[in-house]
Amino acid sequence: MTLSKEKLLELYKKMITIRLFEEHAVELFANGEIPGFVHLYIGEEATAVGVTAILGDNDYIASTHRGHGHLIARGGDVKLMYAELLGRKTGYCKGKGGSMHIADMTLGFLGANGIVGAGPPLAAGAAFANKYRKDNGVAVCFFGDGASNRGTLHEALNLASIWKLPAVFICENNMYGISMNQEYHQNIKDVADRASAYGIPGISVDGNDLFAVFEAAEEAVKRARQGDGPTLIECKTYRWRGHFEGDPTVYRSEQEVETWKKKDPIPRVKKRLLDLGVLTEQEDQAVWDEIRKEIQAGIDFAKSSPLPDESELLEDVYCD
Amino acid sequence: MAVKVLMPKLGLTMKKGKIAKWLKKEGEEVTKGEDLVEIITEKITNVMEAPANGILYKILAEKGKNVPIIVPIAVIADSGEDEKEIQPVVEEAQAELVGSEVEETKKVDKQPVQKEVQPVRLDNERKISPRAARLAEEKEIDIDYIDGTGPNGRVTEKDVKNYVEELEKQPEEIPFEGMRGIIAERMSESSRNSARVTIMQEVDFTNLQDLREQLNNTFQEQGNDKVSYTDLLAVVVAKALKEHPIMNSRVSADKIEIFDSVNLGIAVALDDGLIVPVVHQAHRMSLIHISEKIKSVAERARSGELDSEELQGGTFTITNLGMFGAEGFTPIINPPETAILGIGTIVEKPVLKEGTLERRPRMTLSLSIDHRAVDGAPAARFLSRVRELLENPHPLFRMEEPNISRPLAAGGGKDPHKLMQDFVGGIEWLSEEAPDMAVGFNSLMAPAFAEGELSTKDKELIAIALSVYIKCEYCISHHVHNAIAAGAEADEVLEASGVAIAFGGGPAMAYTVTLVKECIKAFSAD
Amino acid sequence: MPEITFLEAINSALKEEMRKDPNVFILGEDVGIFGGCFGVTQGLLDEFGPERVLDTPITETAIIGASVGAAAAGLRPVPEIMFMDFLGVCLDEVFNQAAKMRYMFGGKAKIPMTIRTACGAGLGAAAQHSQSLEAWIAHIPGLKVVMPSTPADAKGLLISSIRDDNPVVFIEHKMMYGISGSVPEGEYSIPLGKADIKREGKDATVVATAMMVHKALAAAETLAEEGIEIEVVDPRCLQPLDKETILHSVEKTGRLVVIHEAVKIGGVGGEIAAMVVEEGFDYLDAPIKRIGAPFTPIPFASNLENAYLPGEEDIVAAVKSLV
Ligand SMILES: Cc1ncc(C[n+]2csc(CCOP(=O)(O)OP(=O)(O)O)c2C)c(N)n1
Ligand SMILES: [Mg+2]
Repeated sequence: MTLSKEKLLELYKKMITIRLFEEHAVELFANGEIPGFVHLYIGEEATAVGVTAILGDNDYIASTHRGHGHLIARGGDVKLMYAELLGRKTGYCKGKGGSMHIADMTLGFLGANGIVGAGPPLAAGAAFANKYRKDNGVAVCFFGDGASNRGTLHEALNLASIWKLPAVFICENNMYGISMNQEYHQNIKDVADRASAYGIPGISVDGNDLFAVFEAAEEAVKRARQGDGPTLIECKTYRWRGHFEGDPTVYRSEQEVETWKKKDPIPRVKKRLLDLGVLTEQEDQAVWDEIRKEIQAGIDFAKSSPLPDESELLEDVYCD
Repeated sequence: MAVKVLMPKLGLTMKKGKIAKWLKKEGEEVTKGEDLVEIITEKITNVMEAPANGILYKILAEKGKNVPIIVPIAVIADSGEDEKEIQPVVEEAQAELVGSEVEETKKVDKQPVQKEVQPVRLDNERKISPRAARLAEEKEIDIDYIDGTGPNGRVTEKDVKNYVEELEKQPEEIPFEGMRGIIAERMSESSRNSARVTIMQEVDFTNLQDLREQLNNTFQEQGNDKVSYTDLLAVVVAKALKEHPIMNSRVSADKIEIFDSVNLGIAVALDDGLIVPVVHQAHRMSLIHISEKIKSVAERARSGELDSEELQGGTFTITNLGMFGAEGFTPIINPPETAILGIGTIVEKPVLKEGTLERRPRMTLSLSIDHRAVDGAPAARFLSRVRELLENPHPLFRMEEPNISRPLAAGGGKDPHKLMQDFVGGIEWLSEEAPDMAVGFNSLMAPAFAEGELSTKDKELIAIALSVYIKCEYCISHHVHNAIAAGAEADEVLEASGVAIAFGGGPAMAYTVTLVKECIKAFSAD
Repeated sequence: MPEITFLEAINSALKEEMRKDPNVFILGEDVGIFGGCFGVTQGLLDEFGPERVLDTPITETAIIGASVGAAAAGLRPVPEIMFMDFLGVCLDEVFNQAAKMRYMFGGKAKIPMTIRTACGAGLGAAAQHSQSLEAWIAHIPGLKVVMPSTPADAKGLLISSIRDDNPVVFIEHKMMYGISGSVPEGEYSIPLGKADIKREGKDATVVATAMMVHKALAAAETLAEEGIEIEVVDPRCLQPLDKETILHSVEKTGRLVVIHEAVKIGGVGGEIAAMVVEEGFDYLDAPIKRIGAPFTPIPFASNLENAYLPGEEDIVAAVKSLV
């Protein structure tokens, strides 16, 4: 399947939304409006958008600490996201979770996660539920190159492979687990190589190329829905910002960052849209402006939202 | 340089002093050590000397003002000192004085109205801390005797310790020496030697109260101090003693001495005892004279400054426990005197006066006599005379006698019978004065309440509702009376009145849902 | 005595022990070039090189498991678990391996390792990065638990922990890294299992750990203004626990408040309270009060987090309810 022009424009907008959402989060954090940690997705937009483009209603996503992009790509509401980042009552988690724990169960979004490598087994479980219910759904798990060293990934891949679960494991290889370059944290170049240990397909793609990501994900999801089991896709990409806001990034060079900025995934999609005649420069400007407004509305909503009431502290610990 | 004059601390316990009199005027020159101001403390009057040379530039605390110690009361400046230099000192001093007042009021606000009391335990059930329990066991103490003062009334170690301390504590000893010794000796002498009888009489204080008020109003206008009941009693008693000389006497083993001069002993309670200064020649003193004298001896008794002659020669003693709430008591005679008069507290009591209950202030006089010298009957006569003078004191003090009546009425203060009487009486009066009006009123009343389509009883019930509604007490009493006469039951009267109750709310409701509503519309449209 | 921060105190303890004992090495995520997530291991890589300062992959299981192995084989590893919350990842290695090996082997092995880890809320780091889980560890025979509250204690206790032949979990409250305090000059250590009286008082004993020691000291000031003198006891080690100092203090004051930041239910405070009831019942002049966090995961929003955290006012109120 190739992407329709309309679909392509929609994906383009999502990538811009992620970019602008995160750029504004930088500011909010700097202004002291966001407590705790924020891990930003700038530079990796094509991966989340390319993968989620193929997903349907019955599908699940297990996300990571760097999860804003995953949720926006899946159709999350930026108002509720900002409200959560700012710890407001109106946020996705009523202000109880924050950036690292945003979830939207209505979108099958099983949450960002504060524990690196917690996602793969959860995704395996969700995929098992899809298979059990025979609802044709799949579960997608995002995880980083750093997480790929966690035993949880290996145990989940093994389980998914023997049970032929409809799961897709997306490794977002941005070359670093915090300060640790992939070169030092694993003895292989392609995380995708690890698939062979479980007898499942593993492919590496340019994570900054929306079309490459989409194609790989399309294939893997098809396999999963057909009952052929899981796939491991490695998307090679790069985070422009530090590991978290406030990280001085002593472990990498400015030059490296600049090189990767040249591989910005967004202009690549724009170029295709211009080539296809779907978008003019002028229209592109309007797209950015429109999304900027949407982002501003989200921030305004969050800022004008009340803090959670202290009486809510003890709520939601158990089901009634 | 200008200096502040501070309220001096004139004793260890002095907290504040009252300005009695400035001995220098503002602008007057003062030399250091010169008398500057008279100051009254709880104990004494003192003269304060000027603390510096110069001019009494400004008096900050006027006569009569109470000022805490070490707070400025005036400013003394160098003669010829620059105004500009003095002013800041004055302002600062003034601020300190004002500040002390604020603090003072704050303190007063804080004072608890009543002493705090630990509520009485009703049963023995309460908690005890392990630590306290252990200590109690160690000391072999029955914890049932211990009040817990910890949170939730728990008995804590401290409680047990306090109890143990109490158990082990030796009784406090006050030896019979000094004043206590004298009191002990004299009182036992009195009760050993005298044949004491106490008789009591209640006195109506209504008139005396009025008299005192009248007198004090006048005195105040004249700039004199107020007089107390004790002062008035002293005058009255002196008068009565002159009429009953046997009471103004002294007894010894072999004789009675009767005196012409009334030397009145006034018992003064001190913190640690009792002293009886004597007001000599009391029967010759004016009211103000006796008042000042009593005040002065009492004050000096407290500060221990009485002359020895002021403690001698008494012929009769007055002792007042009224200020402590005592009503009647049996005073012990101050030997070698023959009698002593105990004064009780003033209590409001219901008293039957010419058939009506009245609310009246009453006071009990307790007269102890030595039966060796006086018999009961003459003593009672004397006491009755005192009562008589106290109950009708106005002529004695050259004041207009009022006619005071304080009826104790029933029923929300309204007596239904009296209301009826007043009304009927009033109508009679009107019939005399303006017969036409009375007749006219009656010709309205008669048909209105005649038996007709509605019975008289029903009409009276309607009238009750209306009477209540228009809030006419006379109408209410009249129509309730008539309705009952026409056979109405209590319930019916009440129900009729209930209609009036409803009507109280009805108009408010009606106006709210109509006129108020319309007004809102009309005026908010503007 | 020089003033240094809590963080610097730990850093210097590590340096000193690494200089002294070539068997000591550290390992963990981002402890090398990054200097540790909070900066505690800054400069160690430069001084000791990558053989002794090992950046590991994200692999807590292996970090602790390998430490146990290395310790059993004669080294003295000081692994770091970045957030105490991640102990869940390597529980088996902590509880079933490190803790029990010596006993199971009939005393034939020793596991001299010190797991350093950061606990505590206050940063808005929410439910998976803020917990105080010391009670889990204190419940396992074979492990020692150290929880310092001042730079001087941190340094002296970390040195003793590293030198100890048993597995020690050394818990650092992350909100205290910036707290300064004076530290003795020269070499010194503080024995494990000795409590410290941080302030003397006669009216009530407040046993507090880590950050709560500071809250208790603040509460002491407030209470002192009202004439109530509390004694603040910092156990410093929860396993072994210095019962004697605590009991002694309670004997003196007759009243006990125990406070920790961890959830009250099932917390170490319950253990201390129970110990005092068992062994010092007769000293008590009032019921024991425990203060801890409510029974809920740690919320993200700052106002909820503040409401969640026990604090000075709780201590003041608890003490007042006892005296
Ligand atoms: C179990 C666990 N260990 C360590 C951490 C601390 N931590 C948070 S993000 C991170 C790096 C993750 O690297 P990677 O998986 O590559 O994701 P990236 O941040 O690069 O997106 C680490 C070590 C954690 N959250 N959970
Ligand atoms: Mg990474």
